[in-house]
Amino acid sequence: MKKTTKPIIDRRNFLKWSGGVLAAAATFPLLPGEFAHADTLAQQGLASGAKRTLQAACPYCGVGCGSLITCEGDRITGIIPDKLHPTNKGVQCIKGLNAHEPIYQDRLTHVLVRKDMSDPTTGHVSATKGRFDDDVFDKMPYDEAEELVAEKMANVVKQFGGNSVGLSGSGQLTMETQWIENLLLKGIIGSNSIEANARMCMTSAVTGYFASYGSDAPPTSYEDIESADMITFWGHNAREAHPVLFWRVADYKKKNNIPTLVSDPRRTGTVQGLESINPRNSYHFATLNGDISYLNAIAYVILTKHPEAVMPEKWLNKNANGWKEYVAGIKARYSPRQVISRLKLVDRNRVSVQQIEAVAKHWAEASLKGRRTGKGGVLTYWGIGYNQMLHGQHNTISIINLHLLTGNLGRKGCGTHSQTGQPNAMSERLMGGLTGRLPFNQPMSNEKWRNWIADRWRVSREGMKQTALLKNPMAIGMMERGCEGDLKAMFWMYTTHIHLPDVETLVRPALTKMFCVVQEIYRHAPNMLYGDVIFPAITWGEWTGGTYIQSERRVYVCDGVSVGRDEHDNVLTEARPDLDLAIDKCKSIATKLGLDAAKIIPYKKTIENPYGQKFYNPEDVFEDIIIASKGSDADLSGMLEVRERDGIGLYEQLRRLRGVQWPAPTYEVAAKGGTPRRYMHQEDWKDQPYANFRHADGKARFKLCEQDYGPGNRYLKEVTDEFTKYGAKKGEGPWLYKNQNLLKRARDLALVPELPDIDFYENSRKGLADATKEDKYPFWLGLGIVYEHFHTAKTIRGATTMKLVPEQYVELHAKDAARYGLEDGERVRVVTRRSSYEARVSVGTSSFVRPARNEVPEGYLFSPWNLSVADSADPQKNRWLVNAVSHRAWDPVSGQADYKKIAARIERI
Amino acid sequence: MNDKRVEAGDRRIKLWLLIVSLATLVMLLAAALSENIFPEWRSLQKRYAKILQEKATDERGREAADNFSLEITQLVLPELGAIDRCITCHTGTSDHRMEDQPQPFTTHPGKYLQVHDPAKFGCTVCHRGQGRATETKDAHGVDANWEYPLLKTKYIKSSCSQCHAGQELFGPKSILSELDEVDEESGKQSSALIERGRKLVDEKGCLGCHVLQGKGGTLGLELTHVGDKTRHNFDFSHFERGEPLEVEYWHKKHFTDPGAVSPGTSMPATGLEEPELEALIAYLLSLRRSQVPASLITSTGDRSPLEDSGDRLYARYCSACHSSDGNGGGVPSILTPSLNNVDALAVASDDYYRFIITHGRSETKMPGWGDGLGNLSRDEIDKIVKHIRQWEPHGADVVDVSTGQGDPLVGSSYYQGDCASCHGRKGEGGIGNSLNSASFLALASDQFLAETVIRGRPGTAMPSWKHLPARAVSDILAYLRTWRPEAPTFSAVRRAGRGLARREKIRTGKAIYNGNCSACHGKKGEGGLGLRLNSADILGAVGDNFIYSAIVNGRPATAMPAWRQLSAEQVASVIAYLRSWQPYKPRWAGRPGQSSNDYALGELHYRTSCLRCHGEDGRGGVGPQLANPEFLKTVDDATLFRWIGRGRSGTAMKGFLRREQGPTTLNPAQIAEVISYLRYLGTRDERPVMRTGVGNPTLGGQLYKGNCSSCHGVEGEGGSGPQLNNPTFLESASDGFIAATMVTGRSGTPMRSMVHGQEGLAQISPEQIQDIIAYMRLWDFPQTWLRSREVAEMSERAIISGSEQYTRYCSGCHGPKGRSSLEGSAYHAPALNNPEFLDAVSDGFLLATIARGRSGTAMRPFGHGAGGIVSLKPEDISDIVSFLRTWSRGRQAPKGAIR
Repeated sequence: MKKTTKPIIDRRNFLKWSGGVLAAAATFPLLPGEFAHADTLAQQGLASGAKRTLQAACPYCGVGCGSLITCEGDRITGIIPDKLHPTNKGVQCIKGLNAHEPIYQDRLTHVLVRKDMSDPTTGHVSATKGRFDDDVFDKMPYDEAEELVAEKMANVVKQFGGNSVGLSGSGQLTMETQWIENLLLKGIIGSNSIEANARMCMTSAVTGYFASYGSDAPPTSYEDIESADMITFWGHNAREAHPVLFWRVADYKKKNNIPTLVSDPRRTGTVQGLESINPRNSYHFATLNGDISYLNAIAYVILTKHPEAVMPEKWLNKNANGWKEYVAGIKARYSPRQVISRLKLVDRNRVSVQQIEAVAKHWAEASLKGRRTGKGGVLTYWGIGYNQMLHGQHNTISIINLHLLTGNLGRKGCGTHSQTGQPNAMSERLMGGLTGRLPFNQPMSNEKWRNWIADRWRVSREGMKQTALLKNPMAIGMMERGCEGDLKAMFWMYTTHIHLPDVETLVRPALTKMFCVVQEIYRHAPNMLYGDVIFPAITWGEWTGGTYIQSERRVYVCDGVSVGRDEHDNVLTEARPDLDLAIDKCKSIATKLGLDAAKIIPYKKTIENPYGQKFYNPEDVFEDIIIASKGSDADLSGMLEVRERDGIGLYEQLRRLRGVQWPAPTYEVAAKGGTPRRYMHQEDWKDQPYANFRHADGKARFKLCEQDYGPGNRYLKEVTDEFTKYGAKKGEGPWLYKNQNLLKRARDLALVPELPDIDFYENSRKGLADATKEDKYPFWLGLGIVYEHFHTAKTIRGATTMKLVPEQYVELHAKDAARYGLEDGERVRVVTRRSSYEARVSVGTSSFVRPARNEVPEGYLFSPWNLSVADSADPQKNRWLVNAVSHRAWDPVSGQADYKKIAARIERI
Repeated sequence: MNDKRVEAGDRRIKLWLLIVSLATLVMLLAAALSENIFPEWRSLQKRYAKILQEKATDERGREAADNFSLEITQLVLPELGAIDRCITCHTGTSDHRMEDQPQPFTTHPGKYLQVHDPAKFGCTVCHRGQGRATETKDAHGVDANWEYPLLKTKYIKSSCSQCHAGQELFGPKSILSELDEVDEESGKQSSALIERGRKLVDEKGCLGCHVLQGKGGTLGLELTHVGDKTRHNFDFSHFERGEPLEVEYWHKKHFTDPGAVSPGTSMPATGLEEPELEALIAYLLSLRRSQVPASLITSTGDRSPLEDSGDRLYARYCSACHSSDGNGGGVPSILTPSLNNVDALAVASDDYYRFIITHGRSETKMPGWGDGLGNLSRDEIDKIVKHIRQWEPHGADVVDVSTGQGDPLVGSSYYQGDCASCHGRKGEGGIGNSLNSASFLALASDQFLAETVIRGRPGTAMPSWKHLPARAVSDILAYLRTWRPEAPTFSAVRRAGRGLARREKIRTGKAIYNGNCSACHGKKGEGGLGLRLNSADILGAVGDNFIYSAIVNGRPATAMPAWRQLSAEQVASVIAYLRSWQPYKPRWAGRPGQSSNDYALGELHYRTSCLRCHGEDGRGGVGPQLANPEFLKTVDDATLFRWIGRGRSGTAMKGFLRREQGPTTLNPAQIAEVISYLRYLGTRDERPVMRTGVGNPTLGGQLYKGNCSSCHGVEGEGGSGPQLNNPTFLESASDGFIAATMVTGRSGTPMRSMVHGQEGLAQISPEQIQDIIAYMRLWDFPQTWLRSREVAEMSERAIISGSEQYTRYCSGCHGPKGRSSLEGSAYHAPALNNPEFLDAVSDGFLLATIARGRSGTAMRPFGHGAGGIVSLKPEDISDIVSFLRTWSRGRQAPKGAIR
């Protein structure tokens, strides 16, 4: 019942009004006063050492766990897992939990300049390269050093052209720095010789994604784990490499009892962990090199025995090209029996027909279930072990082929999800910090996009066009160019050379010749050995902030305290964030080259710390990146709309949402945290560039990848014999980048870089001494990572991680140990055709040599490479440099080397 | 301040005062006019009089209409202490002719007035509002200052609760439903709304935080008389301009978006939609104190308690935070653990839950529910615990577990993943007992092992493994059995026997016998704890293969271990030595009569003649266990017939044939039936646990205290040795198992033989062992469980080492002092440093949780080889527990450890 009439005045209103009048009368004499301005609390807090936390992504693997950095004032004191972060939900592994330990250690405090520098313009080669003692360096003020570098680099560019200057970036740099380094090389210097440590990590997946989907990056999210009906891992020891991911899978398997498959030569912790949950639906393909074949064989079994799991012809015609050729090839050449007999040489029948058929059956069932329920299916992970092959790109394509064939994509709970090693490898890819790439998944040859980026970089379109024509045979080939004298100077940012293969005969000779400018945080790092000018940098957590992108396309902030310190708590006033170092170089080199530096780099130093240091604000660069992303399939421009409409700053949006998954092109998508899945018109993105596959026709591509060792393994022997010529002599040819046909042949037949002397291994009368005497290499050797250590620099300086795994080891099968009389814990030397390293023998999971988690197959050795410089970075004292033994051969498309199949022998010490 | 400004100020004040005075004067005038000349009720009564006239059909009616005087009318209600002037405007409430008229003249709907005489009850008792007021706005309490505004029509029934309760108010036969009319919109009786609301409160777990009628959690405000609260009791300060300031609306908004009404509240959004919201509000409004004097209440409705099965109780008190399916995390702002976590259920005992529910966990949001707290009765708490237990998987049936069917390879995968972090990668022990001890494996029957795996040892670090299927348990057992030594085959024993000289054999056999067998079977085979062997009826009656099998396979679940570690020569020697007492002379002792092989008949005879000694189902007692598969496998019918018929000389077993001395007499056919019954027992899958029950518990108690308590604790609660008074241990361990462990000790552990003559610790005779077992069987679990927690080593070394480990691996989540909730939101794992938790939790619980983690949560396994955050050695984990224990009440941490 509503009142229709309202009395004009009643008692209450009267009182109210009277009161109002009186109050008004009473208030009028008050004169306006002044509000006291509160001091900025943050400043007070810093001064008093108040406790606070900063948001960051973990600096180690690509899983990208939300990590809260705890600080007292501006001193980092610890790491806490972020319980609100959707990736790790408050869980973290031992590395991340102790990521603060190696920060204030062994810090480089001043700019060091090598007294005897290599000078490409005169052809002088330094005699002190390979040493990092104090007496080979001079200290130099920052500005002077900056001037010196700009002068030298500009001279090299003028004399030899832009492409004679190279850069090696890092998957640990912030996205902002990667944007700037790419601008420096491609936009200012005019060089296409830009590579990153991401090249050795992820590019096989990158190029595979491009080949199949037409665009890079996993289309899935971590949340798909908890909907999947089957999960497979290829060349991926997730339990050690990406523990949080493994734990999510293991918890889910424990709850829902889904079948799992791990393809890995070793019985890794992943294999054992899944088996301990349910051994009956946990499968293990103990294969060395046969992944492509087994994937094809699974396809064969599904096509022949479970045809109902194959997507209907209509769907395939609509969404994919090349499937008919794929199906025909599979049916003709990839029955499980054919595959197993072809691979006998490397796999010794460790994988059986029954296993393949059982896996195929699970695969078919899971695919059908997923299709029926609209959720779930097969979810596939692969890791660096899978990417690091001569046919890495084909490996990725083979996985996608099978997923396409069975319709395991474009739906929650299934799909293809590559895992990166570096925490920000995704940015390196997305920012195009690699040869021939532009930011946002486009090649330099795309004129329209090149012009758009040139405009965003504020550099000339014509210059970029010229740069696009330059060639660089990717990371390893770049080193060959260095040896040959084609590459004259290099920048090294947040990375060292020891992740590259063939360090002794290829990489170090190249670096000796070149003029190297290095950004480094540690005083005794491998970079110091070959750097000519070395700038002290401040690192993750200490910097002014920036963003990382982890493996599910989540852009996330990495805040910092804006000051570096050494172990004595002294402030590193000379050190700067890599971003600032890169921006300064852009400015000074651009000026030397006669460009308008102020126009290209309009950023101002707006961040100031209490120690008188001023820094650029990474958010300014981030804004440029977001603007440039518009219209790409990694469009993040929705964040700008959010800022406009809701008044939330760009970084603040990322902090509040715990990251945004690209693409986020509109206000709505950006406000809810981005897009969890891509392709197949999910999320109703009908007209958006990422709604469909990114090939011109909007379809995905099937490509049958073959694996064939030839009759009697003839091709394998031919090619590996040819490969032995490369790296035989230190710093000298022949050059593999000039023999692309050999690489392509190895790739097309899915071969390995080296073949051990298997006859010798099988001869039971031959012992270790005979191998040395006859110069035979009976073992396969694989290099990888160990849980406690990840990169080379940081975890080896962390007290906890070093306590857990303190020294270099080599895993060996118990039978091999017994046969060659090697004892658990014995010190040996592992020798290959190029070099050697020392290690302790670790036999099986009960070895007392920590960590003792994995079991290698017979005839196979395994060592982690992370400890490479843990004993000493100094080459004279270093016994553990495992990448000196690896072979340089690489995938002709992805550029990744095969670190997993090296021929080796063991020598007693 | 200069003078000019002062002057200007003065002028302004004067002007201002003038305006104010004039305004006040005008207002006073206006108010006086309004109050005296135009009151609202006057015009209404005038209109009513008009209606009366129109309606009047006869003279009397017209007269009444004419005589209708304009005045304030009121109901004086002395019993209620109220004066209701509502009828001043609502003039036609009792006049049925006014049904078609609009408010305020219309007739009161329904039959309420027939039962509730207005002269006695008035209006405001049900409708609320201000009885004495004479203006609509005041009477209805529309303005924000009146305490009890008029109730909205749909909520009026909430007033009924003042007088009516229980069945009268709720349920299909409520008195309301008789009086009630059907609501036009919902098509339901409006009284059903309150009932629906009550159900919602019951199901949504509101009482997890709010107290209602003395029971409930204390996180939120009490609800018992929430219906009495006036709008002054509610905070409307966060409402937006224009939103109604009504209690009902406050509730509604609070239920849909609690944070918007009271920022910072822990109250979660209910997620309820419109009709449910109304129901909940109606129910809350009905929660009122009865202000009606007893004289007015004619019916005394029984205030029957709410139904209280475990699931109802859980839903009512726990589900809001822990969610109805036990998944936890129901309230975003509170850290609530999931209760249905397999790993948690496996380590937590019922006592643990009982204790935590009763006392709560201070420094967390978990309130206590015991007396004086949430006021749940013991019985109710037990029911809730039972409800929580039902989330535990049922656990494999021991009967389905069989080593023979297990695949040791598969078992090793399970073992390495689940068992190795406590029992060692090769069963060498660590947090858990060593499992690869030959004497343990020789004694532990499959049944014992299977029950231990499946049911665990509550209160200790051994969790239950109920999520494992029987097949997996079989696999694990098969793997454990691979650690047993390879037993020689019978043919190997025979071959070995032929290869040795007889004298040599007897000499060796004697040495082995004296070292291993004599403790139970007597120096000369005269028997003791074990059977008498030295008898023509025994040794003479059985062949070598019978003896071989008894030695090598033992008698599972009895005190006879499997002596698999003996070599073929040694077994042959023992056999030869035994034969030197009594040669094998198979004598024909009569033959079983023709029988129907009817084991049902056999069972009948068994019960009358054999049960007293051999126990129910042949599980053994004074006499040996008969339903032993190993025994029945090797003994033939003729031998059984001989033993039953003729007895075994020198033992208590007398013959049952006529003319023998047995307590009863059986004819050959009946004996055959008994045999077929025994055979039937052998085929049954269940393997009964042997209980002899022959010892003297009083003597046993003394012996126990003197010999066992220093390691196993005064009441078997455990110490350096494992806990013995564990319910699942005592249920699954046979007397034989315990006896034989005492006799033989356990190789690889500090457990030595306790028997006189052995190189043991004590000088206990076999009979005394029976006494100790009898004593152990008297243990009552619940009182002693909690004591089993004190196993952590409280040395300075352990605590300091534990504090280091804690700081490194635990403090990141649980906070540096285990007080996560007090140290900012960054610490997100449950607080450990609260006395209730530390009181309730056993050391085993802590050990097991650290070692195996909790799947699906952030608590990862820390055990060695478990693939968690880091691999801690068993000592490290034990040290962490020692450190945690320093937080327990009355503990003192040594210097150097964080407190």
